[in-house]
Amino acid sequence: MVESEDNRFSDTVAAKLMLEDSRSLWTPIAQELDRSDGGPDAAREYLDAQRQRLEERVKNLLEQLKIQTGR
Amino acid sequence: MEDGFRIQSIAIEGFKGFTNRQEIDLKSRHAFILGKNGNGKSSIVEAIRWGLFGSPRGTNNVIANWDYPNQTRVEISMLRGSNLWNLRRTVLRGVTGGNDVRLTDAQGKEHLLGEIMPQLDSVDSGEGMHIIFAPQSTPLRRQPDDLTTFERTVINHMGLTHPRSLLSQLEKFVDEQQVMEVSIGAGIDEFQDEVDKQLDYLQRQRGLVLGAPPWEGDRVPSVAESEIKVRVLKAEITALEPNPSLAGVSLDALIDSAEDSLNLKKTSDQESLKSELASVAEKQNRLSAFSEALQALNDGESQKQDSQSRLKECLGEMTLDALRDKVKTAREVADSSTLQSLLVDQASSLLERDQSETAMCPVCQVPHDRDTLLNALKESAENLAGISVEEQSRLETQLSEAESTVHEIERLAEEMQTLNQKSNDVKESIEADDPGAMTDGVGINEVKLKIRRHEERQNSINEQIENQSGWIDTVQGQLSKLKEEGKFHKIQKEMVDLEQVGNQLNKVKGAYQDLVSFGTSVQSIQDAVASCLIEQLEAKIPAVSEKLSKAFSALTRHPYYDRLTISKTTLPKLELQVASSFDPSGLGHPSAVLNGQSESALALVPYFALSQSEDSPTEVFLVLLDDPTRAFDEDHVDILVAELAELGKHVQLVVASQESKKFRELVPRHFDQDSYQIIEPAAWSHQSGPELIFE
Repeated sequence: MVESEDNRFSDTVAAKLMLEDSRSLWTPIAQELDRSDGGPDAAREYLDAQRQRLEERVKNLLEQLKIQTGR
Repeated sequence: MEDGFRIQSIAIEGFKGFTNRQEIDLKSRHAFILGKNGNGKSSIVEAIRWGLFGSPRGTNNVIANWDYPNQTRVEISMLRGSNLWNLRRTVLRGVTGGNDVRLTDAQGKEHLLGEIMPQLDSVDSGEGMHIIFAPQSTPLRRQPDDLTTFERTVINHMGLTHPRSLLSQLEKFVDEQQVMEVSIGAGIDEFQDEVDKQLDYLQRQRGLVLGAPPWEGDRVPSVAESEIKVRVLKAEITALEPNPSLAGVSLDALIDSAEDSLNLKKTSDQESLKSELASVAEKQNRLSAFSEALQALNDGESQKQDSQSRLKECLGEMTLDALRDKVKTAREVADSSTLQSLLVDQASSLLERDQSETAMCPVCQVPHDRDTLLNALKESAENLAGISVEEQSRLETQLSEAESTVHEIERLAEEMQTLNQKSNDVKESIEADDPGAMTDGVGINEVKLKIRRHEERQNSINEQIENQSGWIDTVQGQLSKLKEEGKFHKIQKEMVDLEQVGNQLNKVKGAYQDLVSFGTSVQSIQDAVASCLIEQLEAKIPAVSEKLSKAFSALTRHPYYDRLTISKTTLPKLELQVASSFDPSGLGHPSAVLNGQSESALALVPYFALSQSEDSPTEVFLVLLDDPTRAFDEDHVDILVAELAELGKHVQLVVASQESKKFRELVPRHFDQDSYQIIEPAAWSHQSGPELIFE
């Protein structure tokens, strides 16, 4: 995005986010959007990485539990 | 247009219908590629697009001419400012989906494409129509596939490419997130269900044991106490001291070991007792047989003696042979007497019949007095009595009795011989098992005594067997109770383990909740982005609608529908609607109200409307159009060419059309002579590709 418009759009989105969790998550997304080589694809990659991390954590914990209990 | 460019020339080799390298010299002019279908017009348009942007992965196979043995290459020379650049793109044959792109300056020095060229982006409708422009933001690596070409064009014009693309990405992300949450959540629920079921089962089992505890008293024994009980019981079974090698062995293993010992003892003891019982029974049977034989011998001897007494009594002083002689004699006498008696009877009868006073004596043949003869015959008859019938009968009876008794004595003697042999055989077999058991001359009473002793022994063994079964049942009962204790301890341990599993599952749920919270946050962000985007779209739509309306009106000259607008109710989705100045509120869907020509013109509207505007946030450099006049009538072709001329004041045009005649007539009318190049692909052959004629 054009830098000024980029900031404006990021700022307007941030202003609409009520919850702290959402705002905290939006900050790095906005940073990815604002990077000169960033953009929506980079933002998506960031989200994918976060989700993958969280997903793997759940799956690993569950898998460990299954192995431990022989299920 | 500092960052913009103009195409100077294009060289095409091995691309689609092209074979040998062919050059098209434009020198910054517009290009009108006119000719029949199938001769390569569209290929030239596509070659320019591919030269600038390449192909999505894998589709190089579609554009390369595989019948041409050499390379597939497009070279575009461009003037940017005062600098000339050469962009060369080559398909890497043998490598699927790959192409090599090189940018060189006028001196032949290679440069990175991204460093030199302005960021180029393209909005396309697949084949044919392209706007090449410098976007306000970094070009997208992937175009959102949920947007139409119209949407992409307008969004780009509004400078909202990134926000719109971000929204598309977030929508997809949230959809995927929901699917994943359901899947993972289901996995966690399934695991929780299994744990709950297992816990429920264990609680029931525990309740059953506590309802009828196998231990004494109210206090639940510890595992150590149960283990001690098992060790003590095993020691009792094996009659040994508790085995120290079993220290550290689990309760279940201890119980199994005790049970094995019990089974072993049960088997070995019972086998031993049963074996002895069988042996004693066998001996007893033999003794019984011997006893029976002895008894039979005694009985036979007794009978034989009785018979001999009877014989002696029957014969008296006589011998049997004497008696036989006597009986024989008696029979002979009886027979003779019988005959004589018959003769006397006959003679008497004759004499009586004969009434003469004298009669011939049948014996001496001397006549005698009849009465005297009769008396003499009577006297003879009386004298013939000899041995009486009674006497003879008595003798016969005596003889018969005597002979019968002799036969009986002989039979008894034979039987006793057989019995004797049998008793000797049995005796030998008894002696074989138990030497010295049968002394010579052993009597029946002694044998019966031995038989009684064996019976007593059998009873004793049976009693032992019974006692042992009772003991085993008792011990088995104790073991069963200890097993129940073991089961209880196991249940307790499993419940503790399950509690730990529950704690760990809570961690999993915590991690899952983090994932869900993350998804919720992304959803919130999606909503905020959508809201902001809609706000911006709503602000920009009126201006864009105005431009679209002007272009549409200019291109179509529709007598009624002269307004285009973007629906606000479907935002952020951009849907075009047509209306009329005569009835601005009467909005209709284009395909519902426009004919084919107007719809074809409508497809061109964004390219015209958004390329010409001087206040456009995007700088357009190049417009590629392929057969833009499909379904156009002649008048509208005229209108289009006029509009193209207007457009051409700002951008470089590459237009391909099969309307050769019409374009040849109209282009000179609307364009300056030096501002364009007409290229005609006149013919096409498999070997040499299209034949290009430059006018």
